[in-house]
Amino acid sequence: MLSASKQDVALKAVPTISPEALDDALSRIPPLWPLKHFVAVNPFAGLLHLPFSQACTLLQKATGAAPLLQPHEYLAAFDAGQITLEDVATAADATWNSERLLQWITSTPAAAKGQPILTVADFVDEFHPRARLKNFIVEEISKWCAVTYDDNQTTWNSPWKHLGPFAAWRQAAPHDRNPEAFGIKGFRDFIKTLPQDADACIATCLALLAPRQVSTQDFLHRQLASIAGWAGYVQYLVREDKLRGKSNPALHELLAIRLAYDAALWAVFVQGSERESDWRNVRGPVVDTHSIGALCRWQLAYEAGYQRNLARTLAAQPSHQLSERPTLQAVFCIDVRSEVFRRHLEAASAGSQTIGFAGFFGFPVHHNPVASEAGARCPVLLVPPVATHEALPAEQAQRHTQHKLQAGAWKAFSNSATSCFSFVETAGLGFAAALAARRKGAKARQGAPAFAADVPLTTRIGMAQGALRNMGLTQNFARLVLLCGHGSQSANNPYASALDCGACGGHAGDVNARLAASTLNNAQVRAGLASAGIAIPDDTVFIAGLHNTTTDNVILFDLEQVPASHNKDLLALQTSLQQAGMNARVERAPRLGLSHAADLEQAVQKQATDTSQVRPEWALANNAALIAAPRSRTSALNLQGRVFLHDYNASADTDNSVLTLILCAPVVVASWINLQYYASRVDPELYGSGNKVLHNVVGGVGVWEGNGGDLRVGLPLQSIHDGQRFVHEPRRLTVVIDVDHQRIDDVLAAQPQVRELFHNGWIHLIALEGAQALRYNQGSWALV
Amino acid sequence: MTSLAAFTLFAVPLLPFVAGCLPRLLRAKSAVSLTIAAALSACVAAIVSAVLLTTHGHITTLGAGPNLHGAWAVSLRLDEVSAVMLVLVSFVGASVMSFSRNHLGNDAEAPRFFSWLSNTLAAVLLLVSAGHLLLLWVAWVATSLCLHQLLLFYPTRAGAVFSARKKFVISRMGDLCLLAAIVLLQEQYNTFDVTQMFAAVDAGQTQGLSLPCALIAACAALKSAQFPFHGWLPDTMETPTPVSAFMHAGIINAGGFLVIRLSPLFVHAPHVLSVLALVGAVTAGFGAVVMLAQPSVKRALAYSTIAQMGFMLLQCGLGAFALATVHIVAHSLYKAHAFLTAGSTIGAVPRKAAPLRTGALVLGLATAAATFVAHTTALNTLGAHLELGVLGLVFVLAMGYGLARLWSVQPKAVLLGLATTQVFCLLGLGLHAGAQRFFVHTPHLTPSTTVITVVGALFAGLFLFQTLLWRMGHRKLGQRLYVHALNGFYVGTLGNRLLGRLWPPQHSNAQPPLPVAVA
Repeated sequence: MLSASKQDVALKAVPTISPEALDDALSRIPPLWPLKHFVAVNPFAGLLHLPFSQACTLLQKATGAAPLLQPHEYLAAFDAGQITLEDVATAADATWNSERLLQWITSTPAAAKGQPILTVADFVDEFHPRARLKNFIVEEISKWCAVTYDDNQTTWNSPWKHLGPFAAWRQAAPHDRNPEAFGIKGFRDFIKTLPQDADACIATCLALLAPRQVSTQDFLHRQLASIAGWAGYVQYLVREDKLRGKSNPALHELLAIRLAYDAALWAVFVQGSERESDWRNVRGPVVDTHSIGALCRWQLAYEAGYQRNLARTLAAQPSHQLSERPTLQAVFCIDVRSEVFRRHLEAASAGSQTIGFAGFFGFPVHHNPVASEAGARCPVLLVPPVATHEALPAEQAQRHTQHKLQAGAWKAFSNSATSCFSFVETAGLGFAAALAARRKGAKARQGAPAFAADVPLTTRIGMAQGALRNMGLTQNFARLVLLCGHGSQSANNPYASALDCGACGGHAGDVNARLAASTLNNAQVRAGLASAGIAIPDDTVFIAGLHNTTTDNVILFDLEQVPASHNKDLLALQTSLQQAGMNARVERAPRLGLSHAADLEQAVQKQATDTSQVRPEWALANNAALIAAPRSRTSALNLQGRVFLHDYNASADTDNSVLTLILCAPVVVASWINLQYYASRVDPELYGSGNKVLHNVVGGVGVWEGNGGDLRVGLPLQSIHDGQRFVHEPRRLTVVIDVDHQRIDDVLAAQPQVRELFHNGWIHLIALEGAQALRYNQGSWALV
Repeated sequence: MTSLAAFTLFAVPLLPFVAGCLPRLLRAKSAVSLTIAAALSACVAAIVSAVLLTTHGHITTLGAGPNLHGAWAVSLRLDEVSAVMLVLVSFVGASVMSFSRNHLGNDAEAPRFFSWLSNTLAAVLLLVSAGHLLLLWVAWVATSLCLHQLLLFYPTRAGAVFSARKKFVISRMGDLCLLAAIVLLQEQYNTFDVTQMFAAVDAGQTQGLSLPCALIAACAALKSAQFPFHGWLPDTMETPTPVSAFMHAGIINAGGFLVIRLSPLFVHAPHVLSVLALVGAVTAGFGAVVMLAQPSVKRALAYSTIAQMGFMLLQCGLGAFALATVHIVAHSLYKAHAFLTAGSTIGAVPRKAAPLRTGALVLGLATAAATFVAHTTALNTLGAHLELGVLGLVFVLAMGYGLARLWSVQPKAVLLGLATTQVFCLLGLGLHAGAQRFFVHTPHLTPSTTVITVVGALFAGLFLFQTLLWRMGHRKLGQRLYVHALNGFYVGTLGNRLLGRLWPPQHSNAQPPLPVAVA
């Protein structure tokens, strides 16, 4: 119910919206990467300028729910001892002291559900119980987006695919009788009256629709949030163009389409009826800020114990650099899965050193494989400055291309309206074997990557130098340096790329690792590095590898280029990798339900190739922290595959450049991954992509869950849930950096966008100063 | 030995039935291994039965009815058709259940899933082996009711509930048609037993079959998602993928099976067959066109099934019952595999093809026709039945189209094209000839020229449409056709609206009354 004081708002003039306000509304939609290179996204990417609790309020307006666990889930964690009284005390503040928090949680069985801002579809559904317009509109828009953005999945493409979404829709919708078949009379006639221009259409619809109790920005946010999946995909396209300096109005256009449907419903069901004034004065959203405040505190309490424990444990560990020459150096991605493997590799190879660095190894490239799609192999924050291609002998490349053409012809034959009957009847029996086998083998090995001819030597040297400096590897090189990327292996899995390396843009890391190794082995590059002050000994050989995170096997590449002098080192490396893989598998086995497997290697191999497997591996589930420190801080600890490990030597980083880089890149990427998992866990319906068992791949872009509806965002249920219970514990990332806290302050002052991540409580920050750990809290630091 | 055969035959449906019921009765937590083992055993038993068929000939077993020799004595019948169906269904069922182990086996609700899947499998196995029409009807209804439980595996999903209801309504209409037909047949032949019925037909009792056959054909059309009663099928993606796989491979073809099973009766109702052929042909064309425009993998597969089921009933309508049986088997294996690998779409070979070259098209068609004629002539001397020219036409157009595709992108791949055509043609004709020999007991019939002409024209039109598809977007007519095809010609939406009126959905997200501000 609205208070009387709000009545004057109702007399306000018809709202208009400035371009800035419009862009603000659009910027609240996070991007969604397509499945061909799915990377984790921070679902709150557009809201980081707001404190966490305020963003929760805003999201409750737009979606009806705040991204927090339910009260009973926090209570269960408290009862189970996962949250202690000390944790509650840590999380308490002036408004919510411990006593009040405890009293609230025990007396609140369920979070008071908020109610989002109403769309016209919601509004009509409420008085027209049979209408189900809300779902229908989403399905209609989803249909048009799917055909507009179809990426090589559909046989018969939309005739208007070359147009923007709004223009395509304006062309197509006048032929579409579906809304009328559904019961929306006069739909086609109405939309013909709308402006041809998307922004003009937005303005027209707003003039018709904008309810007076709701801010226009929030109303538009709600409109887009009702088709969050496709809005996210369009936001991805807009973002890609923006990174490359191009503007793309597609999100405006999608908003125009969404508003047009609401306007049509308004014209058909509301205009001229007694409901018209009801709509104008329709209630605003219902937001439960009280519960949100309490739940935010409980979330902090849920994180406090792990954080305190981690900080104190790390502070007690020594911080120093290796002085003697290691027998082997192995650089791994910061990915949490590397932590397990590195631990076992160090144990298996005495005197070795492992290093954590982003898995693209500082080589951001646009890679063009033979007869496959080209794409960026670098963190999505970057635009790859150089191009590479797959170097294959001409004859082999031609064979690949021809095979692809033949496969295309066969596919067209098997799927056409005229030949599908005879194809099925004649070839169908042949599928019996595949049906019984349920196996799909690994991807074929690829040719080595090579720089495009126009990439000058200085660029290559520059990349090599940047890579070595940022990974802290400028001296004391071992005889053999392994650059080990990672990639997952799974069969029949639309979300396969989500298991691959995020730092390689949702691809396996082999291309970058091989490119980095061959560049660092190049004599000209080494000469250039030497003159820049990095002297790589002549007996140091770089070698590329790929850690298969499903099987924990490591493949080594281009071994024919390793000189005979290093055969012994190579053999030792291979033995240690095998040993490490074996032990890593044993460690992971219980979580995979393979504790009793007689042959563990065979069992994980089966996971990787089984087309029925929905949980090939656990990927980054349960990630909780990022540690940027010398390995000595962590080498004695079992961090349970929950932390991103980045090597950082503060004393060598005199100008804070590496610290800045770490805070701006790996920390941001890790926060995206962490918050993706967080959101998918706390509200799987809204921020997760649903049940894999119901997934229906659409347009080669994403999935529908079941028959249709919106494109789904986030992670599948099976990535965070083992069938019986959730396996991901939703803790916001704790970033621990082994450096004086004032130096962090200096960097944050210069990097406001990173600062707001910590300042607004999206992730946590801890500085290790010798044996002390300090926690950042809105600009001040306190001992943990 | 006959008792061994009877025992094995009974074991086939009984094993998954018991395995499905036990966990429910015992409230056992793990139904997974038990039901999978039962499905595999049923598959073995089905294979043994098929072997026994080759050594013993047709077997009709009397079951334990209240009166062993009266009209109510239930019986199972093992002949070529039921043997093939038993092996097929149990194989697909066992594959799907094994697949489900990793897919759903860890879920808290897994016992419920495996129980119902097992019972559904049992019902289908009973259906295809029933020799007694009432038993067949019971199995027919049981199949649908068990499947209903699987469609509702996620009962909180509004879409699942709605589509299950849609299917429920259509299925009950089919049940009534079938029951009415069975009653009519019983009155005429004074038996429910198909073996006795066939004997009576052989003895010349062939009057008055039009009405019961028409009812059975209607039932088949409803079961096998024929236009315009197909609307429920594309909406059943709210059920787990393995259920879709089993439904599309093991259940939906029951319409075709029913016509084939009763084909000795159908040949004496030629007009019913003509109508069935036309319904099938229209459905095949409709499904094939709509399928091309669907942007989601599972909906495209659903329309593909509709098309293929149309083709199956077309073959039945043309009297090619043996060929229709081959089609059922081939389609089942193909579609089960297609559903169970539906997650492999990303990065797969694109479906959209390059423009066709006219030269390649002409050459392709000529090659296909020549190859087909050459092989047909050769095979005819071996005594195969090949008078079904219209199905030959479909086959030639298909091969011609495939060759045109290949030679449009790779004009130099002459040998590859010729070799593939040879192999494909031999396979197709070999299957045809083999089926004619194996299914010696299925009757044969020469369809009317009108039907053949209409069907031929329809497939020629479909060929023309497909070859012109890449240019469709440039013309208004093509654009309109695209939008209509994308929407499945609105049949689904209209059906939903009708059902929404007849059976209003519960307002699941029931909210408190709308608080509207008073200005």
